[in-house]
Amino acid sequence: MRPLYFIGKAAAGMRNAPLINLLAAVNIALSLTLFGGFLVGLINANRLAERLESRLEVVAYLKERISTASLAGIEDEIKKFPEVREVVYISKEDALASLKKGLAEDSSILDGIEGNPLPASFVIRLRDGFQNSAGIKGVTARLRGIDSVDELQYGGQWLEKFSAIISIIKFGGAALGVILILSTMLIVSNTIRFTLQTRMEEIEVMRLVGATPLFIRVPFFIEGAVLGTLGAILAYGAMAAAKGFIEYNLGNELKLLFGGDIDILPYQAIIGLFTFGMAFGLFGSVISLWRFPKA
Amino acid sequence: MIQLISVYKTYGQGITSLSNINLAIKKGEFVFITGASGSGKTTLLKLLYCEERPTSGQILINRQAVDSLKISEIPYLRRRIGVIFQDFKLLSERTIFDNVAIPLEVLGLPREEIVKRVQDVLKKVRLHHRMEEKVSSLSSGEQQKVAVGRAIINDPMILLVDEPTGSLDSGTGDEIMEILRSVNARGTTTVIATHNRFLIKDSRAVVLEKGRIVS
Repeated sequence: MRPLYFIGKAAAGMRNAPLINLLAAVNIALSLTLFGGFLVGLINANRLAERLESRLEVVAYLKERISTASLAGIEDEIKKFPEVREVVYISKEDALASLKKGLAEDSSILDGIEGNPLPASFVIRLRDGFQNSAGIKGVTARLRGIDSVDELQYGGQWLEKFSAIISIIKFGGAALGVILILSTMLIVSNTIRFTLQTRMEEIEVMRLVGATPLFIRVPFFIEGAVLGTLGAILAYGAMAAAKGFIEYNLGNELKLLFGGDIDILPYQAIIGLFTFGMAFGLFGSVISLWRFPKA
Repeated sequence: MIQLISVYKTYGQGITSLSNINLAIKKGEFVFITGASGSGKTTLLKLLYCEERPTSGQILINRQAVDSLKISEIPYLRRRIGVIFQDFKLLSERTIFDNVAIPLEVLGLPREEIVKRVQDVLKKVRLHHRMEEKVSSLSSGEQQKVAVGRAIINDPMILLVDEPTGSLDSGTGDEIMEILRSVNARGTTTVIATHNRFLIKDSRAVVLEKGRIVS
């Protein structure tokens, strides 16, 4: 087998029908853009979920007038919970100072308030593996059993909903992925079938002078893989343009949501795009040549 | 070299193309298969290069049963058989060189070797000075010569020719026959299907009539 000969044959084949090949590459690009866009959405939704989960903490607000000794006892008790990584005590004074700092120049609104209305609290951070809704549930159940704890604040409920949404997206993505994969392969397979028709004469001659079916097929396989890769390049271009557009218009909002940890076009998506593009192109041509040519 | 034993070929619902064909062709022979249109000449050639399979009977080439060859083995048989088709089967938008080179490309020969052998063969068919011309610009006789060049480029053991002079004037037809006889003179078994009995002269002729050998 001579790779250069086959590559030359494939290139000649594509040159002979440039329009049909270009259209096929554009069609593949459209499918891949949809597929890639979905992949990017999924990757970033997962990142967001991980980021939010890693920031999960439970705040246990304490009742008024608890002795220092009792405080130490409660802190020790909480630290013994298997889910707990760190417990930080925020006194009433600390809470007020933090609020004032947060309000900055607006802190004067607190001037009219007599005394300190804010409760003391424990901020409880969870170990890895417990930073999820199940971990939150375990900790909050135990905290509710402590008399001195007045009220709990945590983000577990919405996190659970968010995780459920991601699961649905993943399931929908798998279904959409299958449809997109099939349509891409169909496009490539039909394109190759069309080029086969335009080159039937040549294939017939090659067959009659003793070319093996594989020898005849290899250039078409290469064409399929090249079409898929071209489609991936076009899809990448479209996605990069979309990335620029989104970042320009929604950059600040995304930064707020993801805390700067967003990559609209992560390398996993790019690798996926090119791998899938080439593989679909190749398989599309394999399908169209499955029963052709006969000996 | 070639043996057909009780060969039958039937198409579809009982249309018999060849019936009880028994034929032996020796190595190096120059044989005509002749008969009217539809007598089964082309079918007989097709059976030899495995484009068709016999309905029954046995076909041996060099003692190898080709009627039962596996599909994957057929290309290798075809590399040892040169075929000149009635409609030439040339790639009209390619050059003379490209057309003649195809069997050597299939064999995977190096480019220099291909160039040398194509030039040699084109000298034999007297087209070496025009090898970069497109086939579509050639006359029928010249196209026939290109077809001959492609068929003999690989020094085949058997040369099968279907109606070599069908669309040619007598001068060009004679030239083609002269080339075929010179190929045969170098030891290639040559089987020519033709309806033109004037070509036969003093060679062996097998006459087909309605799919049967009559003489």
